[in-house]
Amino acid sequence: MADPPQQADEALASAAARGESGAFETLVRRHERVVRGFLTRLAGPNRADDLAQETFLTAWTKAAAFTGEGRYKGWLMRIAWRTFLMDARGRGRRLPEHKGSGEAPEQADRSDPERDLIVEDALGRLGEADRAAVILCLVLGHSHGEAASILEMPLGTVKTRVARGSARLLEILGDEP
Amino acid sequence: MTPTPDQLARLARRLALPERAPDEAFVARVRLVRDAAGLAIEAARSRREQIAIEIGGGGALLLAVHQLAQVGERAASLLAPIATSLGGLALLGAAAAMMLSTLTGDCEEPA
Repeated sequence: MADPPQQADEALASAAARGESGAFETLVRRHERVVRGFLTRLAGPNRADDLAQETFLTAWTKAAAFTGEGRYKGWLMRIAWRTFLMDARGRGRRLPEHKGSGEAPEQADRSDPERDLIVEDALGRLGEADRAAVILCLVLGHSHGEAASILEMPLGTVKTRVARGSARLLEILGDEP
Repeated sequence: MTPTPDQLARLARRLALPERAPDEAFVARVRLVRDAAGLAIEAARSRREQIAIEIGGGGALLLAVHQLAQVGERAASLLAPIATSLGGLALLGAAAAMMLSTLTGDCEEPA
């Protein structure tokens, strides 16, 4: 049996496809944190909001394309990933391929306001596909299958990318007990 | 090195997105952009419709001209034998009679 939030998302998505802007606004309100978080981790904070805005605009104009197969959130994340890739290709560079200092960033407590910068720097040392796979599976809690669907990659490739990316992050950030 | 499940769980906690309430400013921003995009789409649709109407009108005009030309040709083909068989004086008389008839009709109408 599907959980109520998923049903609610699907119902709202159907309403949005019929042009009900209020339903779409509820979906934006419900998912903006995750979409912006995904894009912040992927593209950096400077580009994230513009990309998230573009993602939601695409989701609105192509609302009828959501057939109800899979979760709405997954569909939205696929749009976010494609938007990120198009933006990165349009800019002719891989975003944000931080060079880093070559040294592991200083570890910080969760309450440290610089924690996000350290995490961002560490994630930036990964390739964009590894980074996306790690964020989806480890941070946002998607299954490998869902991540494969979002990133439009084979399941085995996603598993490899998650394992490689996680190992690299542990090297960079260290393993806090 | 393959990370253990415990290591992955700890890493996930460190990478976790901060919990927060929905950002209403961002929701409003998306609404504005969506409305603007909707207006742009509507304007483009109106332009397309206008162009279609203009093309249709132009086509109808061309058809009307073509049909008028055909009617003109038919009238000319009907009148030409008459004009050649009748003398110029007879044609002048017929035209004068038609004019007289028209003028008489015009005069009678107001009454």
